[in-house]
Amino acid sequence: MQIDALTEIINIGVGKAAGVLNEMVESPINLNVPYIKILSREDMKTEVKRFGIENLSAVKMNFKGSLDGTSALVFPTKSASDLVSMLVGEEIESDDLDTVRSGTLAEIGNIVLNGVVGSIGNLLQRQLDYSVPNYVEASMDRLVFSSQSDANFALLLANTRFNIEKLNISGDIFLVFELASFDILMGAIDELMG
Amino acid sequence: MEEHKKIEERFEALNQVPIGMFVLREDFVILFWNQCIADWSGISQEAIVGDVIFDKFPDLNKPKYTSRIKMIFEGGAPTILSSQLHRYIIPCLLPDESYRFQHTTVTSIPANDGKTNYALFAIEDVTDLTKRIRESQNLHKMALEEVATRKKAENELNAAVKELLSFSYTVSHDLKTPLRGILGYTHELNKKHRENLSERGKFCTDQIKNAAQNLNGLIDELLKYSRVGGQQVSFTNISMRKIIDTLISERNQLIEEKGVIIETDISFDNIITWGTGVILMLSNIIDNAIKYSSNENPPIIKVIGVEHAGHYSLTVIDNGIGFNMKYQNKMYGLFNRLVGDHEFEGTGAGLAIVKKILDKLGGKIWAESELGKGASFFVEIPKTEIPIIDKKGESN
Repeated sequence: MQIDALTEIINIGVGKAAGVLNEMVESPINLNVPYIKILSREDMKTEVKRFGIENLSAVKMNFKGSLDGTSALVFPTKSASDLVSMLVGEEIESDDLDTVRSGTLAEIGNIVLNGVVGSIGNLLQRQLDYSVPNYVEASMDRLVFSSQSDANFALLLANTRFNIEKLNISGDIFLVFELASFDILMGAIDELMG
Repeated sequence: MEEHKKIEERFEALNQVPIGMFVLREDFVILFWNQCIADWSGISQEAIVGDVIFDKFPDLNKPKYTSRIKMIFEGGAPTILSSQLHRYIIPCLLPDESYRFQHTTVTSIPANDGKTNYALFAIEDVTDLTKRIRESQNLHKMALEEVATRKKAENELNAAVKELLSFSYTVSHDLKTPLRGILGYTHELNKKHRENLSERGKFCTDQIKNAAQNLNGLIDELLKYSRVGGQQVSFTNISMRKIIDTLISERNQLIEEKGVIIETDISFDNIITWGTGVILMLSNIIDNAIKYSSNENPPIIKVIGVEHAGHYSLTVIDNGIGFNMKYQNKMYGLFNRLVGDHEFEGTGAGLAIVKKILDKLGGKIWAESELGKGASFFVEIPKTEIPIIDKKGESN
């Protein structure tokens, strides 16, 4: 029940993000989260292997306050590059993300993360402090496990499906939250559900 | 005024940074405008602080900006406004009349009243970076287009050559059929009806027969030339000494008839090369040497082979009629002859075939001569490291 509620909250967040994104891009995008998983660090390692992709691009943002953690929007580097090209309406010429295009990806990631983190913040009804989002390229292993040293941190993986109708293209990106504790989040959901 | 003073004190240090920065209150009034953004925009701090930002920059009063900035006033997460999606937030003209490309980060900072939040804009100038990336993308694009154009031209050329070869093969083949008829009827006319012909009639049939035989020879050579052009180069292990010995023994009758002295000195033997091509090439060069020295007394031909670092060289020297060096490029053209048909028989296809074989093999041919003083033909066959595939598909 709680997971369903959390999935809905995240969906509201990505929906808002898509709304913001569509005011500025050439090809409108739909975003939705079909499922989420709460995983231990060990489970996450197994899950990570399923991706089978070596090079990943991510936009990461840390937050602290009543809830401590890291949020990241993770793309296989090639999809990231394609997505930028499609959203800004330029030709796909190379898989490389130069500084300008990684800046664009940082903004796209920023909008999606803000949408979701904003929804969670609303749920908690508490203000969080956020770091400036930054763009990184690394293996999934390093992306997920380097930010927090505390082995007790739990991970939330939200498989996010994007769909650009105009170009008939869809794909998957991943929202990863690393949280000090899910108790606060789950408590807030319980409260919401009465 | 009191608030502006406090703000000025709080953000004073930001006047020293080479990043465009300004601060907005939740009613979108500009509280601070640093020196850098003042320099870039040409709007001084005095001229803008205290104004609502939309009065100066109405473009920012669009939902795509206001909805996100409002979140900042509510203490939301930082917002990025990238150069590719927005180009710039504050229009800043450059001397060349273009606008600075800007990557902007907006963060929420507590307001002086301790209750609300300000929005702090930090603008990085990414103009140089953007221009350089665009230049490099353009160069990359141009290079790719150049490669594609060349590839297309190469494909078209290959297709045209292939078509031409197949055309000449078909034409030569088709010409053979009526020619066979002409030769057959002339033969019958000569054999069975010659006595019924007038002298002029006999002369005419002889002329027809000779012309048809010449044409037959030309077509045979053209077919050979087309076949060489269409053949795939396949590498095999060959014995050069054995090949030359065989070529000489196949011509023994002619050699004895003309009293030709042939000397060979081949310092290498087993090599990997295009066997069938090399045999056809050598037979043409040796035939030429015998033909053009046949009037000498005695005709002398030397075949010398030497191994070098990257290739094998073969030189065929004769003491025949030689040629004028200024026509040497002409003699590799199809049906180009430097001598008249009445002096020496031939079609003028031999050296064209030799040249075609060496072109396919990546080799070279050139010649040295002086009229009446014999000729030397130099051939270079490149060494190859390509493994030979036998019929079972196993490499040796």
